[in-house]
Amino acid sequence: MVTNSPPLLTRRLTLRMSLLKIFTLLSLFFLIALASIPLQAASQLALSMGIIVFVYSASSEAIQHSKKRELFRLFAIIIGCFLSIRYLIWRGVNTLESDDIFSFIAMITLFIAEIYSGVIHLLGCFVNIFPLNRPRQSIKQFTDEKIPTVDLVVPSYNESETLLEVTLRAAKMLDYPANKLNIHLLDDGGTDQKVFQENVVAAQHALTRRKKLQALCQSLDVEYHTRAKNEHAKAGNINTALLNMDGELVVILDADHVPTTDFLDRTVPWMIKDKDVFLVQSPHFMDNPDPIERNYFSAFTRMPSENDMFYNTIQKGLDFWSSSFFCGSAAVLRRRHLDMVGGIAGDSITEDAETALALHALGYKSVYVDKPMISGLATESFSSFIQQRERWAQGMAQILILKKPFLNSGLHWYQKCGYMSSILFWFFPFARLVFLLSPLGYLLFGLELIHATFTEILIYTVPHIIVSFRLSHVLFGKNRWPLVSELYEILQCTFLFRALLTVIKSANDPSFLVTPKGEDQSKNYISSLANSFYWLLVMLFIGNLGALYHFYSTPESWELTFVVFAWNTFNFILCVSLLDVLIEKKQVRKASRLPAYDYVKIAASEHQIWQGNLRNLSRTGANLSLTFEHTLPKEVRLIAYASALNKHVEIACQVMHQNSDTKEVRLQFLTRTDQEKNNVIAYTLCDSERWDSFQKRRTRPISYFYGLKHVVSVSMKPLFLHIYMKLKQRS
Amino acid sequence: MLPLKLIQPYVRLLTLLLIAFLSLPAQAKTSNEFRLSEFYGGNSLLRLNGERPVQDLGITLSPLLAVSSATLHLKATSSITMLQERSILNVRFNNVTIGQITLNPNKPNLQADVRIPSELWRPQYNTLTFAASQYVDRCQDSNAPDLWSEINLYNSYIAFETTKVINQLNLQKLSDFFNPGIGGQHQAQIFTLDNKQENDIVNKYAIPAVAQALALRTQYQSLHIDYQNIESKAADTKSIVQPISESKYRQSSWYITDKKADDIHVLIGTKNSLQQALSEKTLEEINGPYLRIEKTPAVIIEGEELVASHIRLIVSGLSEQDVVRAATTLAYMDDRLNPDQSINVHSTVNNAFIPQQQVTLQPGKSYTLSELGVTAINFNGPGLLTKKIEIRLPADFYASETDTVELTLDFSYGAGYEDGSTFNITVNGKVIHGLKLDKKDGDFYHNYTLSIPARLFDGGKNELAFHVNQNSIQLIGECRSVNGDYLHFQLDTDSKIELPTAAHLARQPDLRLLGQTGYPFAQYQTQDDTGIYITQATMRSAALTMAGKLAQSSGNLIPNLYVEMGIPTTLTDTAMVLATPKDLSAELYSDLSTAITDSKRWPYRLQNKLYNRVTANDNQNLQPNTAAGFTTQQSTLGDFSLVLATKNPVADKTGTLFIIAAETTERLTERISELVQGPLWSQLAGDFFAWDNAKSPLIVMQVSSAYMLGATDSWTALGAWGTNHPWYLLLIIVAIVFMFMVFTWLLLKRRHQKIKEDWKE
Repeated sequence: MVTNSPPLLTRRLTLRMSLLKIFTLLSLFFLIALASIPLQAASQLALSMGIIVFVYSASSEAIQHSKKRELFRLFAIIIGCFLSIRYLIWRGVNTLESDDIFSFIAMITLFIAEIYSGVIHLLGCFVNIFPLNRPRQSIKQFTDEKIPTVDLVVPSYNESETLLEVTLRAAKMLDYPANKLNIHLLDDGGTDQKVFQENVVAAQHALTRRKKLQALCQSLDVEYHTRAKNEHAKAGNINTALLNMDGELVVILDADHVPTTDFLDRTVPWMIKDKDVFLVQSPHFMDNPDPIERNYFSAFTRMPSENDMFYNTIQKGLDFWSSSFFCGSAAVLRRRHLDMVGGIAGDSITEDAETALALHALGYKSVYVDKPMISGLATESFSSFIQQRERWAQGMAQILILKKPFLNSGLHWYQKCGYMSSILFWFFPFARLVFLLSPLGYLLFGLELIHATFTEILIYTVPHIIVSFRLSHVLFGKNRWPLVSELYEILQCTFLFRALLTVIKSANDPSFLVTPKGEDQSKNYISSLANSFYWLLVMLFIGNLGALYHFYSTPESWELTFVVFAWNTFNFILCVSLLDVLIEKKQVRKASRLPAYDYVKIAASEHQIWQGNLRNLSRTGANLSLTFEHTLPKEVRLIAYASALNKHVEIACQVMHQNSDTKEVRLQFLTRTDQEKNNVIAYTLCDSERWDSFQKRRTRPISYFYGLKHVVSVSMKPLFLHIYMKLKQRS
Repeated sequence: MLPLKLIQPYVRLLTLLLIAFLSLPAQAKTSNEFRLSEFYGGNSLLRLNGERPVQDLGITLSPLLAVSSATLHLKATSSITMLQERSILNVRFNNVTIGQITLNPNKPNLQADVRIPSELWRPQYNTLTFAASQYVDRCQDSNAPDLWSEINLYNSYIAFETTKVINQLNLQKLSDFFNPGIGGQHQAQIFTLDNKQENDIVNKYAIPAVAQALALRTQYQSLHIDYQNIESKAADTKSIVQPISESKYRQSSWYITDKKADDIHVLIGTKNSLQQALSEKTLEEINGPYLRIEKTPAVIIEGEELVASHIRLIVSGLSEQDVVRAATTLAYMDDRLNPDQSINVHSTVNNAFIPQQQVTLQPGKSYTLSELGVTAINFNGPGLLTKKIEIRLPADFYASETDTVELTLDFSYGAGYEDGSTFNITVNGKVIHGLKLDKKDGDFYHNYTLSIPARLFDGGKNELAFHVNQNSIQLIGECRSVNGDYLHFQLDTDSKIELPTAAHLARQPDLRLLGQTGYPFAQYQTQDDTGIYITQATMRSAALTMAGKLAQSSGNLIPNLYVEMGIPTTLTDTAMVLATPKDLSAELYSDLSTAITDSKRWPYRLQNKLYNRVTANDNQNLQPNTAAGFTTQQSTLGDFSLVLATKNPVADKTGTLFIIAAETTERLTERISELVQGPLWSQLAGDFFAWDNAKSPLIVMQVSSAYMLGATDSWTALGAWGTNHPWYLLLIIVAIVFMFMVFTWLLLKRRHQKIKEDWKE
């Protein structure tokens, strides 16, 4: 009797699960059925208002750390999605009707864009419904035999020696058994193909680079790798180098990605615990603002970065669904699994996601460790930012077309949803352009965009928008401020749209372009990509003139005109304010300074030591305030506790400025010896707690109206600034 | 004695002639006065503004009437600034000027009697025209505000002397008797003989069908039915008294005590049951469903007219079913196609026939204006000119929010239109489109398409109106003016209206819809049995009057409408109960805030937040609340009567129950006669309607929960339910979302647990 119990229990559990799934599907079916019930206006209004109240009440409870916040959050998401689905059904069933073929085309186009946005919204809700928080793990809990060997590779193409040196030095300081860690520099800028190319100057440059990097590697005890030909870009570089490695795990770091000392300590345990894990990914933390953060918001230290939404929320959501994917760097991969798929994939130019997809399809698992342990450099200029995003968008589109994840039988349905969410997101340029240009169809050409009345728009569309915004706030509020997504999308849409078209035309065409980093930003100038925004602005402005004409000529349809006018004006304000981004601001400092509050000591000699607190810190210097007034000598030593090394370090500094009133002191680090270099890197870049605290500092939600106010407040000034700079350029 | 003997034959002849003359009431002269306001749809004042205003009043006359004399007694007021020598009010009758009245500034209040020559009267339709020439100055602005006069239609009237002339009595004349115009018959007596079975087929179906048939002939005028069952032995008694005249007496209308001979009455029954009242010849003719119109002989015995001559309509047949078929034929038939005095109906074929579908426009189809009965729309001359078209939709027309009615117009206007010339289109009084007529040389529009939200159209009658304001060239300078006669606007009758497909659902209870369309007794998709239940035999007349009114409202026969004595435990889904409070049981009001039994339950206004919402014509947005409270009391209905509409609590399926109650049967009959008259019937609204006169209601309220009635797919029905109960729907959604959330939560937690187990390993 006893022996029969376990199978019986299992059967019961299986039956219970099956029943649960059936009930879930049934209630989902009823919800979709209810979402498609046609209602008259007043009742729909009551329904919409009721749901809005529920969404706001439940989400407020969820945000305010209620005991049952997860349940409230789930309730808000489900009922909010219900309203959005109801809206999309209504749009599809009732609002697509026109006798005019051009109107019909415009109508369908707008509807497809809305369907796209709706699907992205729903997939976003699904993916992020239960973000996974993993506990901290450490290799200290494992015996030496269990700890795997690691090959840490730093692929490089054209990055400077200085940049690489920082990364390699940081890698050398990783808290991992030295006998189990091999560090490799994979130089694709010094390949035989480059060294022996016909262009003599370029060949000489490549040869010099090779020699310098070989010398650097030798000095740091790092293995230097290069190859004969530059084939298959980064993926080819890594795969070629892998042939000469035999570590159980492979860590890939981009040239500018400086690891903190605990990177392997926190990631490798996941590999040890589960042999089916092929990837442990960690966030990419950027210690400088991207051009939009720098040019537009000037709020790098106050506002969540664009990256934060993906790494702090979405990857955690994907992790729950076993779909967190490889992001090209800051990740640990299992060599055995990599070999099973022929190394890093290279069919697309986003080799990372493609590789993860292939291994997920084989049934292997991924892990996402939500701890910033890599600090990298964001692109400096708007054009390089666009270049980077074009690559991502094209790569994802290639994966969609070439790999068809939605048909991949190896993936679970939820993994397909996860991948489709990540991939489809990059088709936003289509929807964004439609949302930007559609109002013009009505205002300038009189096209009917939606076969609905003003009342219907108020009772269906507006509640859907309100609820969508609210759910976005619930899901991403801490990591993405209102309207920021819109601004990023508008900035990228025209360029990415063209890039996507080339993929759609021929999926194999796009080639890997290395994202430029560390560009010169020594003066203010208008981005070379500004022209398309000028045209867009002119069109939107003419659109608003068209609206005025509509008000005059067809006063009977003023309600509809008003809706489209408001929509177009919203677009116009966003576009005008974005002009600020297109003015590339001068960057005075070589490295971005981040807030820091460390307690430090300043020593002029062994007997002259002062106390102070850091105000900010960069990889080249620091700003601090002394606790008492004293004029410092030109050169001092900064004594501080480096968590990365678990000891105090002394850093030689040059005093650049001292303000006796504010007691503020600016220091520049002096790195004359290897030890000094290591100390500076360890102190400034290798402490994951520093990045963590900085990130937490800036991840905070703001209200929609605050976001809107912010956008409106910067809307007009850049316009005049552009005119002024253009005139100045001409004169 | 001799001279007496000599003159005796002459005296007898004279007496006979006199009697004969007196016994021919059809040719008797009758005098009547009709206020002009009865011929005018607007208010009781007819205002004539501008330089040359013209207004027409249509006067409908029964074709059976010959006018021997008529005088128009006119009361009017004109502006005191008029130029006496040039300002005239012309009175025309059928386009012939019959009077010219000077508009004297010194006597602004004028009274005039204008004789209307007899020869100008036409059978049925006549037009009385008031055309004023109004001048205040030699050179004047034709739109000057002091160019006005007004006719008091209420105090003005036409006095007639008419004679009823029936040249050849046949079934063609039947409609003439019930003509809605002057001289038409607005009440009818229906007789049966020895009809003791209260709920036999004749009583139940045939008589209501006859009542409907007659009411349909009176069109918009009310028709009061007086039903009497006569004991045939009454005829025997008479025959014993006067055996010589027995045959003649039998053929006469001996059952009528009223000697007024003008009106037609109906005798209905099977051949057997009418033996005592019909001639042998007539009885021989009855071989099946049978209709006959005839003049019954007068019975004069010893110089005393015992029975007057009457005109009667016989509805008969060999069996009760034949009588029903004859009655049904009477309702359907076009009288003009029946030149005979009698017809035998062989068969009536109505395959899948629902009368309402013949009356209303059909959703999903398109109609040209000519198909809607519009002959031509031409607007000539200056001023605001309007053409109204009735769009009659199914009472339960239920279009979705985004459905549109497509109006495709072909129209043109000539040259010379000046600023302010406009073309506006309204639906039920709401402007749905406007166009400036601003092309100096005129313009032509082909396939000018308008998409009108279908929700602007109500179930039942709708008014589509085209308003053209035509302004002529303004000439500046002394004594320069243009009369604007050249202005010409034409709307082609090939213009069409296309209706969307629609579900068939109506919000109930709704007395307005009942008043306008007869719904739910007359429905577009089904023709289930509908009963009018009476609690006392003496209420049958009132029930028949109501049946006739329902047919009028629906515009067609309601074939399955019957009148039944008593209230069974289960009523038809749609039902009407006529009763006194003591006849009504509390079961009918179990869920209501209103009850009309001996003990009354009233949702007084201050206890009922819905009472003031029934004034709006469009009650689509009425929230599905019931009255907030009620007061129970012991009281009577006094003089008033009331209609209460509610969801039928004793029906098999969803339906509406109408309860009409008054304190006594007599009061009920009287009040129903008042209710079916135009002024009161047109004010029906809400679901609680009380009245005590024929002019205006005592109180109108909405007291019951709304619900949807009709045949449609379950999806639309669900939507309709949701529309009526949005908060319930919201609760259901929240409940299912909650369930889904719980299930999802369990699944998510399980997955989370599984992941955690993985990392523990």
